[in-house]
This record gives sequence, C-alpha cells and structure tokens, in this order.
Amino acid sequence: MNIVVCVKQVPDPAAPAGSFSLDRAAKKVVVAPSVPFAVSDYDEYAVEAALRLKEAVAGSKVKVVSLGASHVLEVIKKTVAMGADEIYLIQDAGLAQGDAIATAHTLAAAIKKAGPFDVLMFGRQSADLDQGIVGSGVAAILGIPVVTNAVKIEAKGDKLHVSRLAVVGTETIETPTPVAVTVSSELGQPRYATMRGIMNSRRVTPVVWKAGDLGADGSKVGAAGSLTETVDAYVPQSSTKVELVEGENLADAGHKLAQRLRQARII
Amino acid sequence: MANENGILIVGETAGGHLAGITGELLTAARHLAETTKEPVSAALIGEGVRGLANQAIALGADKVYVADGPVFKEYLNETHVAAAVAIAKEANPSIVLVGHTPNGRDLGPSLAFRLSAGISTDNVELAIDPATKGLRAARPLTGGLFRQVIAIKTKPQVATVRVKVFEPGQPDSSRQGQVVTVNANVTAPKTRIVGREIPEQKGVRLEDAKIVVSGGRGMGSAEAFKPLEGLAALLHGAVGATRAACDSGYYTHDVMIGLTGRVVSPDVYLAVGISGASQHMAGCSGSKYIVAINKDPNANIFKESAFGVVGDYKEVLPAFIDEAKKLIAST
Ligand SMILES: Cc1cc2nc3c(=O)[nH]c(=O)nc-3n(C[C@H](O)[C@H](O)[C@H](O)COP(=O)(O)OP(=O)(O)OC[C@H]3O[C@@H](n4cnc5c(N)ncnc54)[C@H](O)[C@@H]3O)c2cc1C
Ligand SMILES: Nc1ncnc2c1ncn2[C@@H]1O[C@H](COP(=O)(O)O)[C@@H](O)[C@H]1O
Repeated sequence: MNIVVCVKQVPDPAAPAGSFSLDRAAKKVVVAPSVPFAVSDYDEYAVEAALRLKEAVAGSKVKVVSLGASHVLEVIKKTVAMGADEIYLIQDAGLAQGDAIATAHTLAAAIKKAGPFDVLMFGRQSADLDQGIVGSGVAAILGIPVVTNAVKIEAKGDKLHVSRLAVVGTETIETPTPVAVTVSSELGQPRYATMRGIMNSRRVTPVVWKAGDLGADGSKVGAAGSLTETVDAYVPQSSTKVELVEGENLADAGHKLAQRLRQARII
Repeated sequence: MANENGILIVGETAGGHLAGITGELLTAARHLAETTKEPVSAALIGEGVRGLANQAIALGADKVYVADGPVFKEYLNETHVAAAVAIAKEANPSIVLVGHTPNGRDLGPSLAFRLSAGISTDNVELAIDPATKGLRAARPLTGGLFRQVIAIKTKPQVATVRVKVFEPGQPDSSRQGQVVTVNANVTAPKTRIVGREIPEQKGVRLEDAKIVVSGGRGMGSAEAFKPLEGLAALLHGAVGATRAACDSGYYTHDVMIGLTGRVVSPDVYLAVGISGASQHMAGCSGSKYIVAINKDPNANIFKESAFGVVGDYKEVLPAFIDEAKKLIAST
C-alpha cells in the first residue's frame, strides 16, 4: 500500500503564549526566535496512523510531503525516525504563500508527481492556522473520498474501515482506496523515534521540488490561487478581572470559595 | 454562476428535530441580512426532514431547500456534500454558512471545493464589509491567541460558524416561507457507515449543562476525577476535561473541551488543574463565570476567570465540595 502523509512544519504550538505576538499592520503572527519548529501537532498523529497501516499491510511504503518556504531538515526527518520511508519537500516561498485552497492544489500536484497512492493522510487541522481545509481540498481535487477526524484506520481486504468522530461517539466508514483521511489525536499517542529509524533518517535524502517542477496550474497555486485574504488581525480582549479567594489555609479557601459563589448566586 | 443572491445556511437535524446549530446559523444569517437586505434560505438534508421545514421558517428562513430521502438518513460526506452542492446550485447564494460541528467541519470544506469557492472555518464573528458588501469573517489564529479577519474573493463565500456564538431566536410560527424540494441525484455512494460506537451518557449532556466541572492534567490521575463526577452530580452539571487530561488517560476523550473538542457555555465553568491554554479556552470562554483552582498563580486560566483559588486542588477541592454540599442542603 502506498501511503502519503502531508506534514506541515510550524512554530512549536506548545511554546509559551508569550512567545507569540501580533504585527497588526502586517496582519501576521510574529514568533520569538527562541521558539523551535516542530511537525504540526496532528500531522504527527497522521504519521502514526500511516505507520500503523504500514505495519498491518505487508509491502507498504510511507512517503512524507511537505510544503514550505524552507524546512528545518531534522524536524521533517523526525517522521523518518518514526518509521516513514521517503521525504518530498516543496520548497518555494511563492507556493508557501497560498491559502488553504492554493495549498491543496500544490499538494495534490506534488502527490501525483510522487507516484501512485492508495491512502493520503493529513492532520485534522494545522497547529498554526487550525483551518481543517487542506485534506478535504486535496481529496476534492483528486476526486477521491475523504474521511475527516479519524481515530482508527483498519485495512479490510481492498477497503479501509475508518472510524471518525461523529456527533456523538464515533462511526466507522467503509471506503475504497484511494482515499484521503484526516487524523485526530484520539487515535492515540504517536510513537517515539527508534534507533533504526534514526539511522534511516541519516541516510534519507529528501527530494526537493520548486514550483516549476510540479507542473501545477500557476493560476491555482500561491497568491494567485488563493481565494481568501486576511484583511485584518487583532488580539481578542478579555475584560475579566479575577477575584482570588484566600483563607487561613487552603481548605479554608475552599470553603470560602463555595460561600462566595453562593453569595454571588452562582451555585 | 452569476447574480448570486441570498444567504444559505446548511441546517442540521438530530433525533427528528432541528439541531441547535440550525437556529444559531439562522440568527447569524438574519444578522447579516440586516445589512445586505438579501433573503435567507436554509438547506435541510436527511430523511423525513421535509416536516421540519416550517420550524426553520419560524426560526428565520424565507425559503427552505429540502433534500429528503433514505439515502440521506445518516450523515455521510459523499451524499450530504452532493445534496448541498445541488441545493447551492439551485439557490445560487452569495454566502453559505455551515456549523463548525463534527459534521459541518466535514461538509464545509468539501462543499467549498465543489463550488470552487473560498472558505473560512471556525468563525466567531461575522459582518458585512460596508465598502465591498462582502463577508468579513473573524476566526482564531495561533490556537485562539489572536484573530484574523478573512475576506473571501469568490461567490459564494463559504464560512463555518463556531457553535454557541449566536443564539437561536424565538420561533415565530406566523412567519411565512417557501419550501422547495431539490432532487439531489446521488448515485450509489462508494462509502458507507458500517458501525457506530456511542458512549454512555452519564447525567446531563455537556452542551446543556448549566455547570461544567472540568479537570486538567493537574489532576494527576483518573482516580482524581471521581470527586469531580460527584460534584457535577451534586450541582446537576456535567464533567469535562482538557486534551492533556484525556491524552494522559485520566478521562474519556468524548468530553474533551476546546478548539478540537466540544464547545460549552454554561453559567459556571469550574476548571481544576487546568492551565488555560488558548486551545482549551476556545471551548469554554463563552461561559458566564469561569472559576479556577490552580496551584500556579501565573496560570493563564486566572486571566479569564471571575473567581479563583491559588493552591493545590487536593487541599482546596474537598473543602469546597463539603461546603457546597452544606450550602445546597440548607436551601
Ligand atoms: C492544534 C492544537 C489543538 C488543541 N486542541 C485542544 C482542545 O481542543 N482542548 C484542549 O483542552 N487542549 C487542546 N490542545 C492542547 C492545549 O494546547 C494544552 O496543551 C492543553 O489544553 C493543556 O491541558 P491542561 O491545562 O490540562 O494541562 P497543562 O497545561 O499541563 O496544565 C496543568 C495545570 O495544572 C496545574 N496543576 C498541577 N498540579 C496541580 C495541583 N495539584 N493543584 C492545582 N493545580 C495543579 C498546573 O499549575 C498547570 O497550570 C490543543 C493543542 C494544539 C496544538
Ligand atoms: N504546507 C503544508 N505542507 C504539508 N501539509 C500541509 C501543509 N498545510 C497543510 N497541510 C496538511 O493539511 C492539514 C490541514 O491543514 P489546514 O487546512 O491548514 O488546517 C495539515 O494537518 C497537514 O496535514
């Protein structure tokens, strides 16, 4: 089975909130230089899902595709250290400027160029933009079914059973391949790098492509292909002022908190 | 398409009724229509949904497009997107609003691509730009630390709307509207639902609870959630949790609150051992009062709380529960 995982490199979302600020004029988030890059949170779960499927279906291969203006190699190579096989990097500042729809067109072109595929994996949403658009977009462009917010993926003959988060609980969808799947964290923790994986990651040389290599329609990618525009950005204001309840000791503070909430008619 | 006109909402149903989000979207659409003076229509896709069209009219729709049939009984990307595309082609709206719900998150982006339309997801504010007459949709950025305002260059403009941001209006049964049946030709779908797992509903549903008692990673164990359950039962509330608590195995994922979990807006949100990361707050910042117990005085949760105690919950919480029990028994 040929599995492709789309992985985005983002500033570590677990960095302290204070390391992110807003440049209102540029309508952009500014990240402190101390913040390291990471594989976008849910994309690691997508890699994990791909590796579980690879283990279940003999002869499978996992390719990682990433679009960015530039990449930190050891960040992307973490996916190989976990067990992925190949890396394809689209390194192009122009293409990286596109919105979700333009990004989907770029990734779809890259996926086709990287060879035959059976399953495409995505994170449910990127950790910096939280859009949840790109995976469904690639599926629509390639004309294949999509299952979003997957928590479990099993191979059943030539089909897949994909369990997804439903309105209540989960539901299992039977789908033929090729199919696109977006993965949520309920799948379970991504594995750590293995010794063998780390050795492999040293050997793997990413394939690097620029816009010209993809043969994508120039009107559909980058800024030209973007159907949305950020026209403003701001910091949401919270007007709440906390009233800290104290006591002789912490148990007393607990009593007083209950009394205070009762007095304020909150409980 | 050309001459796009009107605001179309994609409604949802649950258990033979309109789901809450349908009323919320109709409120949002009417709010935009005040400026654009365009008609508001609703799409209802499902089996037996035709009978719900009048309810959508009572909640603000001028026209209801119905795709009714057994093939739409359960939500499935393939069938429901196909029906929504057929309805959008017939209605030819300038704006399409979809709920940012488990199914709306799935439908919205697929629908936008099929309509060659731009889309903005998880919007928390909607307005019409007086200059362009286009939609301005504000959505969280960097997990909710910031907001970006999106303009969409296409017609229609597609936006998913966070739940509980708009309030459904009071139904007005004297409102008049038109019901249109759309023949969405859905040929044999390639995908199908083969199973479901529905967790047991303990007590009040999170979204309906007036009081939500939530625990975070600071709880330290699954055991520690037991008193939270007791407190929730005492206050007729529901238990919630953070992603870190769920990922640590302290509680089940189905009650995870936040950007990628459920969105609640109770009167009281009691946060115990929760740092208040923006992604978590995205699911509870609509609460009337947030009350926090956290041992770190600098925890972000205190910046959004009305009341709080700084200290180890192991000492604070039992005393709080004791006193709450007494106060409740005395009334
Ligand atoms: C893309 C993305 C999406 C996400 N979506 C969600 C989401 O939907 N929901 C969600 O919850 N998270 C989400 N997260 C994770 C989020 O960023 C935080 O990591 C998470 O909310 C932290 O949970 P927490 O507050 O329980 O844990 P922590 O941040 O570890 O905080 C634990 C808190 O407990 C306090 N504490 C420890 N011991 C005690 C004690 N004995 N007594 C009192 N206080 C104590 C500590 O001071 C600390 O403040 C998402 C992250 C990403 C990147
Ligand atoms: N630049 C990118 N390179 C590779 N994959 C991406 C990129 N942007 C988005 N994706 C994939 O699409 C998913 C959803 O992204 P988004 O729609 O931006 O929330 C991510 O979790 C990734 O799997």
